[in-house]
Formats: sequence, C-alpha cells, structure tokens
Amino acid sequence: MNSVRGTNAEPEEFNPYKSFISIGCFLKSMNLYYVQRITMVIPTLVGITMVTFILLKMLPGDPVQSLAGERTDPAAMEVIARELGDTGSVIDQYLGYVKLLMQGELGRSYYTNTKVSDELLEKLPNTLCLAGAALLVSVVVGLLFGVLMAAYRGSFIDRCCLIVVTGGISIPVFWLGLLLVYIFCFWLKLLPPAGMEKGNLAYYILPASTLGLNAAAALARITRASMIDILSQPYILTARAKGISRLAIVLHHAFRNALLPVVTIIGLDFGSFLNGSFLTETIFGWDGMGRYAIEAIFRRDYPVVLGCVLTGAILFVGVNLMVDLIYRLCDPKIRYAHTP
Amino acid sequence: MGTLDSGKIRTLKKIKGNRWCIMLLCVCCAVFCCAAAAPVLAPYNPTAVDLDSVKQPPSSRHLFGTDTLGRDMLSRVMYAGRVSLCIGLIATVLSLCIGLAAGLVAGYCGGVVDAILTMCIDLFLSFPSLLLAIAVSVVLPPGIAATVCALCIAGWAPFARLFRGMALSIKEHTYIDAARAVGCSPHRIILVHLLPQCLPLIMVAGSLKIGSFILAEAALSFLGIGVQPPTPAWGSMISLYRGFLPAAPWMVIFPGLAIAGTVMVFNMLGDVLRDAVDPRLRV
Repeated sequence: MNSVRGTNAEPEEFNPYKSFISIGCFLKSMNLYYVQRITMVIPTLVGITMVTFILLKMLPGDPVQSLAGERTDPAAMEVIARELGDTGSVIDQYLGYVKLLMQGELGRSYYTNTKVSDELLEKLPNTLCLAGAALLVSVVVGLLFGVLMAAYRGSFIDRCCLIVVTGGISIPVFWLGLLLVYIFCFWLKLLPPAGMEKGNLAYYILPASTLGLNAAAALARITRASMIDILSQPYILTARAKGISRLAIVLHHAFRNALLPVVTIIGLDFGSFLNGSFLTETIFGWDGMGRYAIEAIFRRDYPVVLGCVLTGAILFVGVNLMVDLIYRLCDPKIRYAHTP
Repeated sequence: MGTLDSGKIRTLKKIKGNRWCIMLLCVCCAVFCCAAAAPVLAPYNPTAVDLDSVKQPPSSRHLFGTDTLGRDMLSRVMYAGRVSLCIGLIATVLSLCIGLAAGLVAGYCGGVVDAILTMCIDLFLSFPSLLLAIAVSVVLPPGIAATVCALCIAGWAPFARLFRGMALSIKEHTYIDAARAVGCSPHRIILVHLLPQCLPLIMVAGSLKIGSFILAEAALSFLGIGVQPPTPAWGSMISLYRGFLPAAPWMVIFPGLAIAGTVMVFNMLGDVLRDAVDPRLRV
C-alpha cells in the first residue's frame, strides 16, 4: 500500500485505492476524450473539402469549353471532359476530387503549369516562420500589457493601456504595416522595407510586428480579464495576509494560473495570423502562401487559390486540435472535472 | 412577460445612467450622419480633378490634403465612408438574422436538427474568416453585393453559436414549459419568448461585429477583391495610394485613421454595452 502511495498517488490523497481507481478512470476518460476529439476532426475535414468543391464548381467559366475552344464537336468535348473527370454525377465528381486530395494532388497552376502542392510545400515554411515570429511578438507584448493592466487595475496606467489596446484591436493590419514601413524605413531608415532573406532577422522585424500586434492587443485584453479574475480569488488574499509582496503574488501566484485561458487564444491567434498573412505578405513582399494566393487571384489562377484556402483551413483545424489537446494536458481542473 | 419587460427597462436604465455609453452612442450617430450627409458636408466634389493642386499636404484649404489628381482627400474619405459603413451595417444585420435563425432553432429544437446545424456552425468556424471571405469573393463577380455576401458567409457562425447557447439556457426556464403547455407552436415560442430575451446580446454582439466587418471589408478592398475602384472605399483608397507612401503619407494615413477610428468607436460601444447589459459576458 505504501508503494502505491509513494509512486502513483498524490501526497494529499488519503485513500490509496481511491486514487488508484481514479487514476485508472482518468486515463480511460483521457483516452476517450482524445479519441473523441480526434474523430471529431474527420467530419470537419470532409466539410472543408465539400466547401472547396462547391466553390470549385461555382467558379466562373467552363473548363471543358475553355480548353476545347468555341466550336468543337461534342465528341471531342466528351473526351476532354472525361480526361478532366468532369463527367458523371456531382457525387462521383466529389469523390474523385477527394481521392485526388488524399494523394496530395491539388492540381496544376493555370499560369506556370507547376504542381500547386509542390509550390505550397516551398512557400508554406516561410509563412509558418513568419507566423512563429508573430506569435512570439504577440505573446511577449500581449502578456506584458495584460499583466501590467491587471496589476494596476483601475489606475491611470490601466486606462491608458486599455485605450492603446482597444486601438490595437481596431487598427487594420495592412495600414499598421504601411505605417511601420513609413516610420522605420523611410523616416528613420533603420530597417529594410520589404523582401526576405534567410536567417536575416532584420527582415523579420516589421512583418512579424505587423502580424503580431493585432493579436497582442486581443491577448492583452484576455490576460487582463483572466488575471483580474484570479487576483480576486481568496487564495491571493491569503498570500497577501501572509505578507508576500505584490510583485511576487502577481508573478508567482496569479500569472501561472491566468495563463491557462490564454493557451486557447493562441489557437485562434493562428487563424488571425493566416488571415493577416495575406495582407502582410503582400505589403512586405514575403514569399509565402498568402502572397502566392493573392497573386493567383489576380491571374485568375483558381487551382492555386483553392489549394491555398484548403491548406489554410486544414492547418487551422490541425492547430486548434493540438491546442485543445495541450490545454487538456496543462489544466488539472479540466482533467479531473471529467473523471467519473 | 412581466419579468421580460422589467429586464428590458433595467437594461435601458443602465445604459441611460452610463455617461460613457451615451457619449459613444452619440459618436456612432455622428459617424453615420457624417457618412450619410457626405454630399452636404463634404467641402469639395470627391471626383473633381484639380491639376493645379496635386499632392498638397494637409492645409486649411484641404484639411486632409489632396491626392495625385488634386482631389480633396477629406471629401473622398467621407464618400468612401458611406460605402464602408453601409457594407458593415448590412453585413452585420444579415449575418445576425442568419445566426439568430440557425442558433435559436438549433438550441430550441435539439436532436437531429441541432446536430446538423451545429455541424454546419462548426464547419464554418473551422475556416479562418478572412480566408473564407477571400475564397467566396473570388468565386462571385466582384462588387458591393459580393463583398456583403462574402462577409456574411464568413461571419454568421459565431453569432449562431452564441445564440444557440442562449437558447439552450433560456429553454430550461419554467415559463417556456408553461408556454408549451398552453399549446404555443415552436415558432411562436422562438419568436415571442426566446427572441426578445436575446435583444441585449444582439446589441452587444452586433456592435462588436460591425467593427470587425468594416475591418474585413477594408482588407478585401485593399487586396482588390472587395469594392471595385470607381466606387470609393477606405481599403481600396489605401491600396491605391500605397505607392506614394514615402512622398505623400497623408494619402494613406487619413483613410486608415478613418477605419481605425470608426472601428474603435464601435468596439468601445460594444464593450460598454456589454458591461451595462451583463458584466458576466466580459471577455
């Protein structure tokens, strides 16, 4: 019994059997939860492919006609349609589409005739690098502002920061980017206005700040609310009564607990980074997925556009799944709340 | 109905008592009036070309300066505001209607209907919103209608989720049981008993959403797939004058300020309303 207590149970757990059983149940419920959460992704993915398929079908222009020309005899049109997989019922066409997607086939660009999947594999890492840098900016700036505002709640600092943060949420990403370019490139002449160079951090600063500051403002609001919630808990009062300094309470007692709701926001942030990457990459000439898609829109290069949309949506779903799973691992309250 | 009326009156009183809220409401009205009365208020014709005063910096004659063809920027920003605000407002109303219908029906009916609708909501929530709006506006012929449509398709799902939750919690009240017991039809319960309870939430969510729709519209127009050039819009103006940033920054700064200011006012109004209506909703 002692060994059970020593290895598996938490020290305050009185009945070792109970803890053992609860750990078993907990593991079971955890696995169930994971299985459930992961299988829930499948209908979403199917739905996403359906939406892109519908968009594909709604595209202006008939691909068969545009390939065959105006006056072609119906037999030749038939052959081309079969080659394109454009025959049969809509359901057959959809299944064919999904089958191609499963093989990683996103079609070929009308413009360059290269495979969309190959091009995306080349551009996606750049976008992800930028998103990572933006995440760093948003987490550092957002948490700093959030904790500062909560610590000085109701004071002059809090009010000023609140106005700055509300402004930060309301500023259009592309305008912020242009302003930063104007200030740091044309006025102060400190940073390069556009382009990218592997490993050169100077090229990352402006795009990452542009992309990250919006998200930082949102994060700061959530952190503030979460911190204020935690700081009004009785255990904080206890800590105060014990004579612990305010700084230590804020940083050590409150901050770690306040971080939990913030984790989920990072998943949503990733969505806003994907949204923002279209704008930021266009402004800064960043060779990523966003700019690839926008350039394709102007060339009416639809396979590329839909390939990017599909990839973006799948990435978003994947990141949200990971965040959910990690959140569950991090937060003991959720873990135990679901234990039967 | 008694509790419902008193609830509404309480909300109204709270809003009336809040000086911030009244001020922000006034500013919102002013923004709308400015845009609506642009033909009267604008100092110049927004399309009048004046080649003698090209790229003038802000001065007393032209408060916001002039653009590359000598057109007055203030007038252009005001006229563009009409389009941008209109799109924001229409898109918000439409997506609120869709979201309310889907959310309340899903929440009240439950069962298979709820499962299907929830699946749809989750599906639309799983797209990053601007990405979906871009995809839709690529497919539709560009213009104002397409932009509104794209924004609605990308923006109704959060509303639906919100109101589904609301319907689920209201459904448990005994007065809904009573209504059902006296033989109210489901659509009467949804329209007469559920919908009015959602009104405060509609105000809050709507005013927060207008801001984000104006931002999204500006982004689409900036990328060139929203409102098309002869029609002025804040986003497309910034994109048009982007190339002159080093020499004439005011042409980019003022439309952007207009967007940021408008969105900020709506966001603050939403926050204040939320605090007045229900402090528990605070993010």
